[in-house]
Amino acid sequence: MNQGNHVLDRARVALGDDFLRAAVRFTADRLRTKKYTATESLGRWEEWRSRGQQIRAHTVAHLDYYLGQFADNVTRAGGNVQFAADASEASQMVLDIIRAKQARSVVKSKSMVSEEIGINHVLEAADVEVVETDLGEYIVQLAKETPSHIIIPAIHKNRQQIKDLFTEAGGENLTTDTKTLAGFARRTMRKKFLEADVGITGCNFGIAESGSVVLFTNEGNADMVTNLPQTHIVLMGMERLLPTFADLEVMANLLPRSATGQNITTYMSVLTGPRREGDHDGAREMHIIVLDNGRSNQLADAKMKEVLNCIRCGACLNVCPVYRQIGGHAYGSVYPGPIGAVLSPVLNQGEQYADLPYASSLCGACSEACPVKIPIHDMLVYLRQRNVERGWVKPAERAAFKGFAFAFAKVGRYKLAMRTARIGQGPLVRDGHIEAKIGPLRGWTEGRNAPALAQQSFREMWGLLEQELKTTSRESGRTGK
Amino acid sequence: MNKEAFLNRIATQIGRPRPLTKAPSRDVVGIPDFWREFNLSSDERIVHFEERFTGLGGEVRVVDDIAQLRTALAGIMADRKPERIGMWNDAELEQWVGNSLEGQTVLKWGVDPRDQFSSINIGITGCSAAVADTGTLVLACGGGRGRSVHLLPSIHIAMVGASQIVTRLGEALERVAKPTEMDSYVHFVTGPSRSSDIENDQTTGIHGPAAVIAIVMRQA
Ligand code: SF4
Repeated sequence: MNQGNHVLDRARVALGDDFLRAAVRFTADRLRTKKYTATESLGRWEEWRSRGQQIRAHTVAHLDYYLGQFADNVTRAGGNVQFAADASEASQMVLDIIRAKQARSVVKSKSMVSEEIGINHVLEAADVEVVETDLGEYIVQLAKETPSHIIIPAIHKNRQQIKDLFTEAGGENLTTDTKTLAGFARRTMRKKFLEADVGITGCNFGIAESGSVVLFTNEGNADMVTNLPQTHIVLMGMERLLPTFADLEVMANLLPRSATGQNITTYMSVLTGPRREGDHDGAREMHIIVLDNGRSNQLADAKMKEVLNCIRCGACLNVCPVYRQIGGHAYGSVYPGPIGAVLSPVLNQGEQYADLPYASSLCGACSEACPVKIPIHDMLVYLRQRNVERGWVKPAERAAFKGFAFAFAKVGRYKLAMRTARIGQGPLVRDGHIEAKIGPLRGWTEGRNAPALAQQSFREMWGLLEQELKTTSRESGRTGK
Repeated sequence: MNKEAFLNRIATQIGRPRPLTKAPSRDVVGIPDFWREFNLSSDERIVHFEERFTGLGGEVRVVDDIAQLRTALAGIMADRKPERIGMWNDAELEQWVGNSLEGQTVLKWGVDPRDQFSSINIGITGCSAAVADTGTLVLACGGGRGRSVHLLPSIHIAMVGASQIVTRLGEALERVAKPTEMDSYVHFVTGPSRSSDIENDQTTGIHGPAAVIAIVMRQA
């Protein structure tokens, strides 16, 4: 992904896209309100959160034991487990399985780890067709983009755009009606499921005591992916474990409530090995690939290891005033929002994502929303310190931050800077879009048309953002009882 | 990377010379105590299940006995007019259903060819348990209880005995998720397949069934 050099560049572009901003805010609000209702109706939310935290902390502190136990039990159930140190090793393992099966087509259900290792590109380069089957992911895939939200990937697409994408994909006489669009997706995908050689899923939780893989979905696509093709590949982060099914009851209560405000997810699927003797459906082979990719490095760091407690619910995104303004793409990483700002720089060694910890106002709403009580905003501060200690303040970045601080401090200069920028973009703008492949927005415009800087400036929007900030901290003060 | 090296690396980072091989002791396991005390009476369980299941877009018919169950089932068939029905190959389910599907084309899982199931309109199953608190059907699949029977059709009908309804999800897990003797696939289904991926507008039946009907029989 290449959408501008710095998070602030990308944010500026995102801030110019009114639909995106409205959609992100609307969705985040909806999820946040639903979460509030769902946690209120359950009651004693703080006790649930504490329990969630205890379970995750215990698991991560004894990951060596539970991962060993999990692997042994998968093997006992007839599955196959492999361990990948990094993204390229994991991709190679997937490729080897695909080659051994002489597979031509793959269906996938939503998996952040698969985005993390970039498996779609690897498979496409090997001439294997890959179809995302989560409706949102499918839309994003057709648009050749990446998800903008962990839970609702196509948050940034409107129905007209979706209709156009589906028409391009072969849909005839489609309207923008949700039912028509969903119907096209169902028919198209059903065919893909029945034809596919291999299904790839992520893993919400692995259960150590049984070697089971647990998947949460609302659409039921994971069930098609795991049951219809002959081979099932599971990509899982090494920390994604729970010791027992008793612990799963806690997570099954915490995760859907935090993610979408549902009391429970529509489908919870528990797979223990491949199909057995006497079964007439289900994959015949199950391959689990366990990925480290920078995770184990965090275990030794007392200030960072809790990042491995994350259950990927997305609640921190929905409450984050910065995410709500700029959306997921501005982060330029697979994992967006507050958790992305923490995870991306630790999963990717080097300076590539070292700018993300600055895409935060440190208001603390993320930590309060987190169902397993990860102190996300403390980690953001810590990562900023770590950057400085490592001397990671690249010239461009230094300038950006200096410029950033400087501009906001001196409103007059900022206005001048913005006016210059607006004048500067003049010749490049066609019908309100920037088409040139030069200048600071180059990385972004190479991939798509960038919306022209809006009449409302970044600074004016920053004002909105600050307003939101205040409301958010008031609101979270109210909900965090 | 091989397993040993992978686990060793984790152990080292945690601060152990080699990976733990003995189960670590735990202060707390699973749900908080107050939740364990949550217990509904058998009548309440039916009411809760119905409320929750319906609230999420499912349909519930509560019947007293087998005769009523068969009438309800025949009624649904008259309503929906399926061309093809798929059904678990399961003795108890067959006994419940009895003659209520007379005149229909019914495919049995594991008996009739598997590929014919991709065109069934209605799938009929039993269940292993149901959860009152969440309105969830629990389907442990294996052998004659095929996964495709409830995944592929646009309507899923599940028979539920009142005594199968438990209060909490955890009780259902205790019944079906026994680590060494569980089925290869256990599915927890709460309402129809749904998505809000198009402009937050909720739609059902995106992949799985668009309608899920639970027939709850009191005398069972
Ligand atoms: S950090 Fe917490 S709130 Fe954010 S995705 Fe992870 S578990 Fe959810």
